[in-house]
Order: sequence, then structure tokens, then C-alpha cells
Amino acid sequence: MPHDPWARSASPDYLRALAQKQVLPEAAARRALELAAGTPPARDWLRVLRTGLLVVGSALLLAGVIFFFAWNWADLGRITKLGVIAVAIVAAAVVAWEKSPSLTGHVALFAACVLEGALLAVYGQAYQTGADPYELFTGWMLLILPWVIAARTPAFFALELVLLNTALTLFWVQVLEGRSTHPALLALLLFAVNALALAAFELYRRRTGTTDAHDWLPRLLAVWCFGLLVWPALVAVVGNDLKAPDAAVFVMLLLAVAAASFFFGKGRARDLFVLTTAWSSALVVADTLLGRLFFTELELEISGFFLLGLLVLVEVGALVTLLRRLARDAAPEVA
Amino acid sequence: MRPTMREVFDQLVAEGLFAAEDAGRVGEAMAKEEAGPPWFVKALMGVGAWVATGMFLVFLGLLDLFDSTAALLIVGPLLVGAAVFLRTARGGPMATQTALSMSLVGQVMLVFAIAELAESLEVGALALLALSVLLIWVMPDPVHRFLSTLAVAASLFFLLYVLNEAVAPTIGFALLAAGTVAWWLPPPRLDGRLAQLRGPVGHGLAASMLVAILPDSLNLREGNHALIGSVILAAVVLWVEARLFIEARGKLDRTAWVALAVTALIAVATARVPGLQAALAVLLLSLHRREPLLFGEGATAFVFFLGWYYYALELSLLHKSLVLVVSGAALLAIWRYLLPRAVVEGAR
Repeated sequence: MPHDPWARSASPDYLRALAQKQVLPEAAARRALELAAGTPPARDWLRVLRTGLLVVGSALLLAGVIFFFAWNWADLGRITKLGVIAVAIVAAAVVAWEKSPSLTGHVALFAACVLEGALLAVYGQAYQTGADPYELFTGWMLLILPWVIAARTPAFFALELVLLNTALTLFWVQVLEGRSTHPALLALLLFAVNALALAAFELYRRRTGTTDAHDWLPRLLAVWCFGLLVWPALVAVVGNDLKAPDAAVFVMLLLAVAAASFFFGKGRARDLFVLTTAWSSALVVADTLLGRLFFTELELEISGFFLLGLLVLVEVGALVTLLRRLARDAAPEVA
Repeated sequence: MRPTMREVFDQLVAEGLFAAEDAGRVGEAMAKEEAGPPWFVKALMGVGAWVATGMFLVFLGLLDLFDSTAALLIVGPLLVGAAVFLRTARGGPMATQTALSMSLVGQVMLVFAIAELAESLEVGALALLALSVLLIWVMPDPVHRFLSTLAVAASLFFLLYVLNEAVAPTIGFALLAAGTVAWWLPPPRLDGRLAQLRGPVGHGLAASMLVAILPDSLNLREGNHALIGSVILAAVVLWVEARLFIEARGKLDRTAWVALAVTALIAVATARVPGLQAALAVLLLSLHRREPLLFGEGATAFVFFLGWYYYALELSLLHKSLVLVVSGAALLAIWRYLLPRAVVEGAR
């Protein structure tokens, strides 16, 4: 949320509220509404169209290239196959070098990053290296790391994290499965990795004073991190087979909620979305535990549903009240 | 997408509609004015209400309340009435949450009772339709109004389906498309009940239209329904586009005719997936009215239907990949040669 009310987006609802409080005279309010919700000038339409053409065109082109090689074009020799992709990567990298730091440059660099994966896949097929899929994703992740660091934009970090998560999961499934490993340990491992990434990204943002435009990645990471903990916690509660790793998940969830409250709850760093995600996760697990208590331990049956419904209402109401108070206490600066 | 408050006020001052020295007073008022909870807090309230409603419904079901139509007919309307009163009287999150949950439970009870009494699902759907329309008007809660709009669309679809199974979806989404355009095309009002309804009902209509077009876009029905849907929605998109050009330029000049021709070509090329036209209509309206949430709905639908379009092409993987490369290259060529940055920035 912007701290400066003047930086706030001029939504029709907001302008109506100001008009109702007679902060704006009627003529000014009507004109403000026209400005806020009237059709943009041609330049803005063309900008959107231009961006859409670039993004959709690049995505289609990239998808076509990937499908082309997925078709396993058997007539091509392996050197030719690898050469074509390598040329495409170099071309994309050159465009990125020429056009950076514009959107065009970033799109080209992103294309190069994706094509690296295609190169590794074709290499693995061509030379039958016997590498496991997790090795492909690990190699892909490491090869594009310098570009990710150079780009320093959230989309690249997101790609790197997707590859990291995929590599870890595949490693777990392909190498560690069958060695009496508990699924909750995978969730804890992925949580640790993604939480570290979130912490690193947040540290970088706060040191460099990056604008709110980059909010989506830490928020996406927060949702993923808490999802990784909530799911095994729910499975453990419902499954009635608590083991040490499940207990570790509960402890980690508590610590994560506390950490999120501390790091995202104060001053300029306050992020209501992350706080909402953290506290909602805690509520979901707590309510599931209570449900188990009502129906299994106390055997409340019918009244248990009424109590749970009432609890949910009270909890969510209290949480929303707290969130709105935090939003108000963010002390917007008046320019 | 939207201008900031600063940009709007600077323009008001430039036009002489506002005094620059009043900026301090306005700034203080804005600081005090609560802009409303962010979307994820509203989503949390909605999910919480649903979960609580589910719990209460199970509780009532286990009490065998649903076996007594008379009890449902008495308790249902009482709950709905109490919810409207509570929400009108108090605006805090607890009251909002409780009112939403009470209203949903009461509506389920009332509609169920009416359907049981009449022994007819159609009568139940009619009751839901009427009740939802009434609640859109009287219940001052945007989440509730959105949900009621979805209920209106769902009951309307059901009734059309009962009347004529074959043409019901086509008529249904044609009505929804017309409704969505008619709702978002005119400028927003400053005051009155319709001003409050604009956002929630508008989003409900757009979301319903995008969902309603799914079966024909995914080719789940036999026949030429997808083509018919595409024709209808293409006509809607072309009409919206023409209206926007007339509003902006006063007439349909050469640029407008070129744009319309290109849009028609795209519609022909993508006729098998009418969802693309529906998404395009939503995108046009969202940009026209600078609605970020509506843009998000349209963009998500566009990406989904575009992906489906290429997935559903009855071509080998090789030919499909060539189609993707050619279409991607064509779009990039338009971006590079027909819409270079200089042309865009020079436009007015």
C-alpha cells in the first residue's frame, strides 16, 4: 500500500467516498471521475498493444521452438540440433545485451534462459548420458545463474526458484525414495530453501529501496512457503499418525508465522499480503486441530459443526480487524 | 492503468475546477479516508464466510432441519433479513463476515424449501434468481453482490437449459456478453445505488461470461456451437471496438477500419475457441474503463484460451510448432515494424 495518499490509484470508489464527504465539490468530483475512468489516450492504448504483442509473440515463438525440439526431429544430426539451439541462445543473448535494460532486453534474456533447458534436454537425448531428470534441472539452474544475477528482476528469480524446487523434488523422488524418508522432510527442505530465497530477496529489496512494483515475487514465495508447511500439517492432523518430521512441520510453521510477523509487520516493510498469508495458514491448521479435538476426542458431533462455524467467523473477523488496523496505522504521509 | 490522485488533482487545478491551495485539506482528508480493505482481505472474508456457512449448513442438516419445509421457510427469510439489517447497520469486518454467512445460509434454506414445496427445480431456480436480484439491490456488501450476480447467471442458465437444452448455453453467454458490455461501456456514475453496484455486478457478469463460454471453447458440446459462439462474440468485440473509436475520434476513420478488419481476421482464425473473443471483449472494456481487476480477469482468460487454442489444433507436433513460430514471429514483426516506439509515443 502506498504510504503517500497522493500516490494512491484514483479509483471510482475512492473518488465517490471523497465526494460524499464533500472534500471535492461536485463539478470537480465528476471531472475527476472522467479522468480516472475515462478512456485513455491513443498513446496508452498503443503502449498496451505493443507490450501485448511483444509478450505474446515471444511466448508463442518460444513455445514453438520448444515443441519443435520436443517433436524429436530424428532426421537432424545431433550436432545440428545442438547447433540450432546454441545459435538461438546466442542470438537472444545478443539482443538482450543490445537492448538491456529495456523490456525487450529482459524478454530476450528470459528466452535465452528457457532455451538453455531445451539445449540440455536435447544434449541428454542426443548423447544418452544416462543423467537423471533432476540433473538436467540442476544443470539448467546453474547455467542460467549468471544471467539471473545480471538481470536482477523478479521474473528471473522466479524461474531460478522453479528450477531449484523442481530439481530438489525430483532428486527426492528419484534418489531418496525408498530409503524410508518421510514426505514431511521434503516439505521442510523445500520450505528452508524457499524461505532463504525470500529472506535474501527481501534483504536485497530493503537495501536497494526497490519500489512496490516488485511485490509479487515475495508474496508468491510467501504463499508457496506457507503452502509447503500447511499441507503436511493438515495431512498429519487428519491422518492420526504423527511422527517426528510432522512435529517439526508444526514447529516450523509457528516459527515461520512469528518470523513473518516480525519481518513484514513493521514500518515501511509492512506487507499485509504476507501477514494475511502467514496468519491464515496458522488459522487453517489450528482449526483443523480443533476439528479433530471436537469430533474425535470430545465426540461433539452435531454441536461440533456449529462451534467450528462460529470459531471461523470469530477468528476471521478478528484477523480482518487486526489487518485493517495495521493498514490504518501504516501512517500515510501527506505530501 | 489508472492515474494517481496527484495526476487527477493536478489536472483539476489546470482546468480551474480546484484551487491548488486546497491540496493540504484534501491530503488530510485522504489520509483519514480508508480506501477499503485490499482484495486479499476481501478474499479472506469471502472464504471464511463460505467455510462458516458450510459448517452451519451441516449443523442444520444434522438437526434434520432440512426435513421440515415449514422450518426452512421461516428460518431462511429471517436469516436473510437479519443479514441485510446487520450489514446495513454496521460496517465492521465481524458484522460483514457474519452477515455474509447468515445470508448465504438463509438463501440456501429458503430456495431449498421453495423447491421442495413446488417439487420443482425450475421453481427453485426462479426463486434463487428473484432473491439474488433483490439482494444485489438491498445488500450493501460488494462480495455479496458479486456472489449474487454469479447466482443470477447460474439460475438463468439453468432455466434456459430447461427450456431448450441445445441453444441454452449460446443464448446464455450471448445475454451475459451483452450484459457485460452494457454494464462497463457507459461512464461510471458519481452517486446513487447503481454507482455502488458497478464494480461487484460488473465483475460478476464478466466472470460468468468467461465461465459460460468454457464448454464451447473446450469443444465439450457436439455441433457448431463454438462457431456460433464465435460469431456472436466477434460481433460484440467489433461493436465495442467501433464504439471506442467513435468515442475517441468522433467517427470511424481509416485507422478504425483497419483495426476492425484485423480484429475480424483474428476472430475468423480463432473461431473454434470463442473464449478468445470473450477474453478480448473483457480486455477492451477493462482498458477503456481503466479497471485493473477486470484486466486481470481478461488477461488470465486470454492466456488460458490462447493456450487451449494451440493445444487443440489438430496438427502434428511438428506442424503445431511451426504454427506457433510463424504466429509468434508475425506478432513480433508487427511490434517491431508497425508499432515502433516512436510511432506509439507520437500518438495522441
